[in-house]
Amino acid sequence: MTGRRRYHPFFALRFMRRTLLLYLVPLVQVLFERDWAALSTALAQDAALFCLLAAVSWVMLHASSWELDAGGVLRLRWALLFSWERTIQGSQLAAVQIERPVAYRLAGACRVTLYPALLPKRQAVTLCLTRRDAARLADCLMPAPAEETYHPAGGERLAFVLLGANSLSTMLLVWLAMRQGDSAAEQMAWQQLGQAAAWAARWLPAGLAWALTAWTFLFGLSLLRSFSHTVRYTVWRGGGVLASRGGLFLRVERRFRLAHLSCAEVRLSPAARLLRCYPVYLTAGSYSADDPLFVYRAGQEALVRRLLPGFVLPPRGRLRLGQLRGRSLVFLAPGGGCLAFFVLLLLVASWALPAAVPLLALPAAACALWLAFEAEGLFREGAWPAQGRLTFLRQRRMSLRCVCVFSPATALRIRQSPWAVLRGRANLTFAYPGRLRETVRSIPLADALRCAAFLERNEAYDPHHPL
Amino acid sequence: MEQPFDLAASAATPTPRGRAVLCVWAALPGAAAAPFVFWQGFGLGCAFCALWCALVFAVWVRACSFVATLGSRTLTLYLGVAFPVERVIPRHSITSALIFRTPLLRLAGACVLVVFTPGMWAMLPGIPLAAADAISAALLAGEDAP
Repeated sequence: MTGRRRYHPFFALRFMRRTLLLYLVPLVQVLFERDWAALSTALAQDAALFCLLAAVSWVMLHASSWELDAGGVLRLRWALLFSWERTIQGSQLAAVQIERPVAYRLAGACRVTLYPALLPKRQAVTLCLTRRDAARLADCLMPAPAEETYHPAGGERLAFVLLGANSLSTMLLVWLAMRQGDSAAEQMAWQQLGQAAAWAARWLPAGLAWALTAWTFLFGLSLLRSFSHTVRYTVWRGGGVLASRGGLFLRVERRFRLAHLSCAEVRLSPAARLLRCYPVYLTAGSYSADDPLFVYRAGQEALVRRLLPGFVLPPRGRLRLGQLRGRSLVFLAPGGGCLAFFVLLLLVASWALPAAVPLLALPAAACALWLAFEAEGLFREGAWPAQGRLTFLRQRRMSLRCVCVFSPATALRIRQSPWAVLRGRANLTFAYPGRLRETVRSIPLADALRCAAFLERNEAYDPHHPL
Repeated sequence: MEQPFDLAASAATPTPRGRAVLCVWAALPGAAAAPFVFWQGFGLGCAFCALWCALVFAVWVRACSFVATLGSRTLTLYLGVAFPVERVIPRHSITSALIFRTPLLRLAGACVLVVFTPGMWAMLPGIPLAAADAISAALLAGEDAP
């Protein structure tokens, strides 16, 4: 159908990037012995090495190819000295992701990742294709005509930006960027941060000012990152495929085959509850998203059902003290342990180092908040069959996750400790295709058995589901 | 004459000989390590042997508690006395099954059946070969097979 096609030259750059350390080998002796006269020789050796590796990359580029046939079968080939061919059935893909960072866009390239429905994430395939080839491949593997479309606008987009911002992942990215960047930029960044902290320290104790400045800086960065993701963002559904596209600096297009969706979840984070806007995350095969697919306002559940037919929220009853009977207190262990540690530090600091009390009070307050959310998990966490689907509520960190299981291939595991046997409680683990798992803790054994019985008598799921 | 395994009327459990083979497997690493521990001291060796015997006993107890039942839509595995585990696997999600026999298992008339699904894999150890064959055939024949 496409004929034999070559990858984009960026495919070879991925190999070249892995060989960067090799260029240091000729320079090591020069740098250690400070023999500047030999520097030109070392640089010449580096140039020769670069030419050699460039030649190897060129050979790799020409030895590898891909082809998509009319039956939707993708073949990845290598033919030099030995040959191999990897065949990927298009119908067995759960998700296709096309990423276009700025550098790729300038070169007209796309990074395409194919996520299989039944295999673990490490078996996902990443290809470097030209823009036209990537679009053609995605259209052939997962055609997605727009039957239902959704654009976040106004308040929804603002909520999308806020809920998509993740300070932790931004912190990791900033740290990586500073490690890879030059020391002058790093020094400048620290200097600017120090000035901001000094300004905040006019009103706040020094340590607290530093902590708040660093957090504000990271949150600002994550907001910017999240905002860039929502530029020209669209979600659409059609032809059994749910797709999204958008982004300013990093343009990302994702397509999910609805028949291979493992689960969809709504995360009730503190920000989501305040805004009354809830982000929806998808897991399909080996693909598990870190970014929300879309956000809906409270009362707009019809939008979710329009984009995700068959989505059901877990039932949420009233909180009763009876729900706590026999429930393991392991829920409170992480937050409670951290809170106890910081309270202990506060007590010691109030006696030995009063100036550090405000700085320690901040993490103690954060831990108290965490403990409050864990206490909510103690009441809420559970699993129930509802309207022909398995659903469960799971508390993780500061958010409550409302999950609806779509995949009929999901297996269950019910585990009990001797204490749980006495109390009639059990941990229920959902094993999704793609080796992804989620455990709901210390739920009534009767509820776990009801979920198991649901699988046995389940008629809502299509028996001819394309596993 | 040996009766064919009736899948609908019975649940598969490890045979006594199958359990004995599992215990032998569990005992082997301990038996290999014991001389070296005795070399360090007689008391230490005795303590190690007692500990390993307890481990083998735990394996035997867990093997005794193992039951696999095949429903119309699911394969359910029960395991454990003090720490019970129940696994429920939709039948149509099972992508492949593997039956393997070692010389010891062959002597015991048992085998190990491993079933693979996209999300997990599960092992049915020490069950009779006839049961393993019947379960494997039923699992891979289709959902409505008896």
